[in-house]
Amino acid sequence: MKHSKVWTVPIAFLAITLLAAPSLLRAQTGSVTGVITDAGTLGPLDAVQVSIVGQGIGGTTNAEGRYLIPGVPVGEVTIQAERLGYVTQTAVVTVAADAAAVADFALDSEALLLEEVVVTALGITREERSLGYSVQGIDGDELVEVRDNNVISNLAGKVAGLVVTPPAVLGGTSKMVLRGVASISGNNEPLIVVDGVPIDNSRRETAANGGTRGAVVRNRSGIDYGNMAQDIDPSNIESITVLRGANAAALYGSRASNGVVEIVTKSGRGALGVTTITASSNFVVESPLRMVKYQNIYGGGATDDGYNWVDGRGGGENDGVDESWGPALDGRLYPQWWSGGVPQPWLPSPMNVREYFQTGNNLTTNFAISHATDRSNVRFSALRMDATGMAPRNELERTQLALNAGVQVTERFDLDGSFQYTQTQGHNRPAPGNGSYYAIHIFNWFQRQVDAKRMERANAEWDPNSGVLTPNWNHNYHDNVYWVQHYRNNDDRRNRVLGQITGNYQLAGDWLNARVRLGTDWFEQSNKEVYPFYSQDTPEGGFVEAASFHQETNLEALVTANRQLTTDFSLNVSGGANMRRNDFDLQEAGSRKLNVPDIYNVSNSAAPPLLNYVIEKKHVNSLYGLFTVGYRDFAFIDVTARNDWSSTLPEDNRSYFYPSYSGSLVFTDALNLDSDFLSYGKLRASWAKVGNDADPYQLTSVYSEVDKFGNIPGYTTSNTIPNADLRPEETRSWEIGADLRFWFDRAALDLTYYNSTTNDQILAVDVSEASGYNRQVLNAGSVRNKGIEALLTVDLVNQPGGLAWDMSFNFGKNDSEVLELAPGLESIVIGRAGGIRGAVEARPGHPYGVFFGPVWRRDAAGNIIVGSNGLPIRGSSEIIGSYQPDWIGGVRSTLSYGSFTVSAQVDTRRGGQIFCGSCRLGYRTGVLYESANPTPRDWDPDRVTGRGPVVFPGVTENGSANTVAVAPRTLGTRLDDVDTEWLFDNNYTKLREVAIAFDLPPAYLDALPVSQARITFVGRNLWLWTAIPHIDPETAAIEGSVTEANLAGIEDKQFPTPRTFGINISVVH
Amino acid sequence: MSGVRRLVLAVLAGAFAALPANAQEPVSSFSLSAHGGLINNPAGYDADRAVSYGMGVRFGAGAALQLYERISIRGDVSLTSKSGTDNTGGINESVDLGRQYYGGGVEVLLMTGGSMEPYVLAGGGLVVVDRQGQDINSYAYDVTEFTGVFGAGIRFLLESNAFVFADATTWTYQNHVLDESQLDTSFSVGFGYRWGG
Repeated sequence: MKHSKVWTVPIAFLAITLLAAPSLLRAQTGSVTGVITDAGTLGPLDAVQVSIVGQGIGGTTNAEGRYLIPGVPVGEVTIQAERLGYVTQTAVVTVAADAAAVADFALDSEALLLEEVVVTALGITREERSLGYSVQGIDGDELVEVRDNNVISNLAGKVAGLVVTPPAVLGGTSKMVLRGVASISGNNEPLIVVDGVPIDNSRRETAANGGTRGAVVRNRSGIDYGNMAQDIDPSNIESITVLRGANAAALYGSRASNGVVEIVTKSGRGALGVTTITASSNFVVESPLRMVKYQNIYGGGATDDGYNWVDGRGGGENDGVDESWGPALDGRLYPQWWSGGVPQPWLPSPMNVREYFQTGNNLTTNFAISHATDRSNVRFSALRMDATGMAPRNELERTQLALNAGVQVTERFDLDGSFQYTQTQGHNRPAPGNGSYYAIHIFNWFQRQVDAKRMERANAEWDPNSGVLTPNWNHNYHDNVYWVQHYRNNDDRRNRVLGQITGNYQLAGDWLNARVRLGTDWFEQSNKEVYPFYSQDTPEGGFVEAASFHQETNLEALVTANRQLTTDFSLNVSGGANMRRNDFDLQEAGSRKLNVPDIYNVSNSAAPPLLNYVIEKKHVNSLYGLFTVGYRDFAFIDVTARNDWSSTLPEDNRSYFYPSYSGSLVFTDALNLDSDFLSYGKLRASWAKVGNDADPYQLTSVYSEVDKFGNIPGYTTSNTIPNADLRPEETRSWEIGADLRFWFDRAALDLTYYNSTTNDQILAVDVSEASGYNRQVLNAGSVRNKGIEALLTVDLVNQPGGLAWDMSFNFGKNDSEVLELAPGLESIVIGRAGGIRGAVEARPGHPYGVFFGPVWRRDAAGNIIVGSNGLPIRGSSEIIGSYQPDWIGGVRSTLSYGSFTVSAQVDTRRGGQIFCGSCRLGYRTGVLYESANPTPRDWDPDRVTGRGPVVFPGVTENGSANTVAVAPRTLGTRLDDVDTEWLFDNNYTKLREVAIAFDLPPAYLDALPVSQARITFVGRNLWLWTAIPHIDPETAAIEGSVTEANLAGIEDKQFPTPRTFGINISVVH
Repeated sequence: MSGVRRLVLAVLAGAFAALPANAQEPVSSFSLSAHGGLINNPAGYDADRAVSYGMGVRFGAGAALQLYERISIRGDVSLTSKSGTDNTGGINESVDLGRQYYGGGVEVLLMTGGSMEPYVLAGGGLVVVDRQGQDINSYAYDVTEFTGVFGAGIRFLLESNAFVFADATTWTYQNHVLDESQLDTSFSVGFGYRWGG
């Protein structure tokens, strides 16, 4: 069995589960109950773990501080109550048969910081005070309250310095970048690790112009099948720790330069002896947050002379034109596309684009059962999600089963593991960007008299076997948008298995421990896109079918020694090894011309079938170590070292060493500061060297398939010169920071300054075509990112049993600079889209991602120079902006009063620019509001437009004011030529989340078999404040391009961002 | 933010700030009600078309669950109907505009203990806006948007657990034609019956 390795994890996992299963079969004899309060505030304490010492059973307090432990043996027992941040207490009670003994506790708080532990690299848990670098934790509960199906989108606004670009389309890609873009053309996304196992978070999509699909529909945007991390169910997440920079992630070596997102899933640990059943259901509906504002004064045509629809190809008057510079929509009578030659009133359809988008909905139901004893724990969960998008017939389904289990096999040996199976299916995913196949593209040309209701009806009444085109307002360039969504289908399915088994063995006492972990991330994905006959793009039909397989397996061993050497010094030494295996293969088949309609099979291909087969393999072996010395528990020094051997690098460069050094000093303890104001203070500093790996096939030339010549197969070499001396990209980073807590920990401030430089960039640079190639792979170039991150949390009000209010603020500012490129290289094009005339580029001396494009010619006084024809003159190209933000920030607030909890999150982005492709194209086509209304353009109040002749406000070559009027359509075409016209300051603020929760009081639950029930009304992406016209700048991303993965800052006919609103119901038994 | 919304938010904030401790005392009652009234013209959705509407009517029903002495959660459904004439380009065509509001929210009593209960409410829901012309080829649309709901009213309790009320309600939702907020306002009266409490 080719992929049999994937089953080793679940089979072994099943064994663990069977070992843990007896924990579900305990008998019951009595019970203990009570209420636990905070001794200081007298308020009830939830989430206190209460256990019967030595019996392996227990429970957890609810929101009222109440607990119940059934099945307690008759007799005298010791009850223990423990909660993080409080002193553990015990009490002795006598339990009688079939009776409830009462044990109440009032817990004293203790200095929380002494106990705080965080998950660090390789899943090692450490005391937060011992860390010399910055990490930020997110509680899993924050992700499920207002859930997003993509866990990456859920992080938006919650992590200092994390830039998230969520998708607008259902199931699309959510991108994230920490501490700026470091790699000019490589991967810049943090590594995601689930339960210690690195997982794939790549984007799965059809390439725009490459591969088989590119041959079928060339120059058309690809379809975004989403990033892989969306397979992680937020309701299964216990916690997330973001290792922001290279310093924190150094132990991941060649994959650490972009930071790491460490996810720990729920394991079932906690309430001892109690079976907890949790069920939750989340139903939300979605509608567009913002849409392009259109004009409704002028209809279709290139001139306002008249209109007569005959065939939609130019057979009549203005009927082959797809612009909206035509006659005024004043009720005059013209034959139109739907009227069969009969003149009908020529009127606007203001709602025509909005009408197309339906109300999407998403029902997600999650069920979980867990149980724990003092020797075992098990948790099983199941999830089902059914969603429909805002585009007609767009659907996404997901089914997931997850199992976590752990067992103490012997006093020295324990096993735990996690296993997750996910199946995701998508149907008719809409594609943004360019292409007559895509509704969003068509709407930029959608003439203002066209009524969407009529379009929908015409498509519904169309007979696919009629042999004629679907009725449409234009047959020169566009398809009926409803026909597109009904007949140009795409379907995809992904099966994924993610799992790990970890064995821990105490080699000596409790100070020497060995850990072995086997983990794998396996998935297969298939997708099919069909292109029916009669389309503008593929009049003879076509299809693409692809199946891919991916697996990453890691086998890791780690030995850890942890000793208190003297009363002052402690020592922690870890040493380990890892073997990583990556396998990927892709098989594609397709056709650009079919014999007969509706049979999408290679055997029906009327042209040589398009075939593509890709195999990639990669092996990385690693050795690493961690050495920590602590002094009196207030000073710590860390040294880490890792050496990777990678199969994708040349033999001589295969071995790479990555060291890091860090230190932390809790100065409030060192100096014995006893202050009511500053309750805790820590300073930290670190330095690290890490890498960014090379992809396969960059060392030597390989052949790729081309079209057959008759029956003779064809192969060709790559156009890129490989590099047999390639090295991984190298990042050197240092950071300093402080953790400060004030007023008895009521406020906490975490500050970090970082500075990292990435050298030896792996670049594919242009070379002279005289060489026989057009690109060459080399190590060159350097990018520096430096900035600050801040996180402030404040506990504003905490009245016992009354009002509670806390807030958190996060801030991130990153300054990026391209220090150098390859010798002689002036710039590297990161990408271009949206009709931008210039490009987004990397240029030495400037931030990564500058807009380099044409501007107007101006005189010395700054006036735009206008030619004798009345049109402004296009000047040379220059740097006109950057997509990098000046800073980003977020505010989160939670207010509780009695059974009500209200939480809200607002986040903002300030600085940088965005290119509005919809503005550019919509103005050129005459559909945009500003193209017809005699009011100042929203974004340029000096320039008046409308449909009358326009005198452009500029000066002639001789300095006199321009007096020559031009037609607005002519001006619109000229404005299309200059990128500064469509570039806007990218400032926006979003009301990201609102949740209003109500916990049903115990009085309501008495008659129900539940101990807790919560109803939450939720909203996401509720409001947007921005001066940018027409678009949501946040989701304005280039989706559908793997080749331009680092391209940002360009909006290219984006799908509307969904605004969601719904309800969560969760119950706990 | 419009003056109306500022006023509503200020009243709501004041109401919550004035909540005494006994607002947390659990009280359980359930009520059903019916209402009818008038609703304003939806000028924004027909921007760029010359449409004149007559006065619209609204009717519907609601249910409320009282959780505490002053706090209830409620859900309401309202259907509205409005007829008018579309004279864009001189076509002089009859049109019907239906707006259906489905929503829920929190109602806070400003005064308790007497036979008169002034209240404010805030919440959210969905609004379906459905325009139909006189024949199949007429300009038509049918869209659903999220809406915020704010309102205030006064309830008179009768001897037999029945009650009558009068209220003013405002819905605010996105108008994508104008890229701005749409405000619909209605005044209505109604009656209902309460169980428990």
